[in-house]
Amino acid sequence: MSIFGYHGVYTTVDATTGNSTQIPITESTFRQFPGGAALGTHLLLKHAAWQYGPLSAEASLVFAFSPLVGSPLTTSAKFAVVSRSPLTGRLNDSLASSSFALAGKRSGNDAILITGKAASPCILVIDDQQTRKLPADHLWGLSAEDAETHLRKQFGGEHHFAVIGPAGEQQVSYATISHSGRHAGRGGSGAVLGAKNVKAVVVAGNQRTPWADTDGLVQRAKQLSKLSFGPATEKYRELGTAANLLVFNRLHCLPTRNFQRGSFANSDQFSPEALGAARGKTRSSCASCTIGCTHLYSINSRKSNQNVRIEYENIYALGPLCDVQDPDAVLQASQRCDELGIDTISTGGTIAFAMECAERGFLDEPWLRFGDAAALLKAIHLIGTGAGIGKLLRLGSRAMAGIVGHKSIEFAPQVKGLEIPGYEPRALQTMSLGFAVGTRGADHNRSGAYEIDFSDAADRRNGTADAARLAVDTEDKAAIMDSLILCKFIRGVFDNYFAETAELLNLITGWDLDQSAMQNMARGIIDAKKEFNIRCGWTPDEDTLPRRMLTSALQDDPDARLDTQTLQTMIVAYNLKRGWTAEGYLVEIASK
Amino acid sequence: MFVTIEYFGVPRQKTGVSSDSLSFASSPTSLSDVLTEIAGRHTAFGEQCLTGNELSRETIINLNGDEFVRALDTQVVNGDHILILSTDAGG
Repeated sequence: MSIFGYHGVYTTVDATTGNSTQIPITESTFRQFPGGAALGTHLLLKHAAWQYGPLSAEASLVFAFSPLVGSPLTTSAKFAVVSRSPLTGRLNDSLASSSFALAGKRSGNDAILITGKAASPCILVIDDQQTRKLPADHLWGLSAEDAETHLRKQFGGEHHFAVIGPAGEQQVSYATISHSGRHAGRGGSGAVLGAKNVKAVVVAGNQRTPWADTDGLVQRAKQLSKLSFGPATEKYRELGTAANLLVFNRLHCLPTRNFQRGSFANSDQFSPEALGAARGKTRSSCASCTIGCTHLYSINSRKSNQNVRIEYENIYALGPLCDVQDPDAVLQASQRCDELGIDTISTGGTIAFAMECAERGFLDEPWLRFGDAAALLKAIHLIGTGAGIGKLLRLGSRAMAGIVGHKSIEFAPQVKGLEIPGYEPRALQTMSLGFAVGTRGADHNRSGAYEIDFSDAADRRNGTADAARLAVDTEDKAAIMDSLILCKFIRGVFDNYFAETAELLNLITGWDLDQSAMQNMARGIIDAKKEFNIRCGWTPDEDTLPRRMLTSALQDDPDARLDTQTLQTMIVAYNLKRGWTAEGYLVEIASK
Repeated sequence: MFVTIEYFGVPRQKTGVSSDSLSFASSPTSLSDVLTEIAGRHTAFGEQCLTGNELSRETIINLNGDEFVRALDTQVVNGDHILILSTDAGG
């Protein structure tokens, strides 16, 4: 089959037997689900993956590439990992950038679907030779980074690796999949792979896909790269995402002490300027990226050679959310999360929740207190070992609340089980809607509704139906970004987002998509995600926020107050704008 | 009247200061006048702040930690705090 930009096939690999099958994908499917999160969702629906528990042998996990992978377009070396989440029980799509995406696509596949369960630790190899399963007992227990080092020696430089750490092996509900220091981080896809006894997926190959208009593509790629050096990406380039911290703190949007407050006493020490002044600092880029947003800081001193990649979200979750004010402790905590292979947002959210439970006397853990850096590091250590309270912390805050009781679910910082990222819902109420309705739970990458809050289109502390309708557009844009796939940090360079992304796709595929077609595509993708969740058992009452956020104002900003009625008004407006029923069901499903 | 300007992110980097205190002969004054004053003090930032007669796409302005504003005729009064942020809150 010859489709520009695509191989036209995906491979299913059964971890039980090591057998594989190549299955064609039609052009009409790609026109609806072009790649990444969209293609992964489509394949999960096709394989009826909603029927199986996320950690069962029958569960499916998809690595999905995209037509842009391997092209000269900046930030396009990305892939999606899509499965049912052990943390939420709903759809989970995590994205990451690295040479794994490039090598995975060169293996001759648009996606790789893994199912089954190996009897003992294994690696799955998909390359130009026959797909095979090899033993991985020698890798079991290693950090993802150490396992990658071993694999590189074993396979050489052409192969690339998606690897789980010890947390994935032990099925920690928010375990990540890592590759070259990057992570498909949220929702526990590492646990899904670990439950299959798969330590790593190894890819390589030499199969390339032709482009419909190579000259046009190269020309456009040059333009895009030039724009990526401009002011639209300057914040990411010069300061990194950590630049958000002081702004959010000033606006009382920085969740602190498990969402009791919106500002943090020691925020200045966590600013990129302060971190850089006290420590050695370097920058790096993902594969095929010209922005270079990755900022690495050394731990403890300028002379240390231990560099930790710092983003706003890991500072927020391991610092302010736990009220830990020591930057070195936060850097160490972040590094330890990477070694174990766990999501920093869910780690920080779950530990902050446990700290509040302990302070309220719901947990007999007198050492576990807000502000205690040693307690933070100890809690992460226990997540790694599973000893003591680590056994509970591994479950995430929602499941943990179910065991702790005392109505602690009311302040568990999660939506659908996914811990809330660093955007205070009461102070950013359009974003609160984005969190509530998100198919993978509380998420800042699938809804960019905060952009509405940070504009003159809305009053950020008074959510409205009008703002909710605007939030739909940000979610549509994210759906396209996550499916083409491009990094969201490039989004600011587009003047007409849907028309320009249509042009990129047309240059590769030879299609004639326009703005309207891309908007329809986005809505189809989000419908598919919703369909998966409905088939998993989604009900409208899941689209909400923790009760704390709907019944009490922020302690340090009494004007930041949200109630159930306001949230419900936004949700209904959002659902109707999507063409769903007011409750949020797809019309076709609701009518059956 | 006095107005406090607070810089965050790239604006802070470009101006080299975290805040400015500006005085104006009359109250209220317009946001446009405030930005013109800032551009005079911090040339590198001023070049990026405005595109013609509009606030540039890369600049976000918040008044007193409450509302976000883009209209250059927004009235600024004595004691106001103007927060100038980098584009894009995400990450």
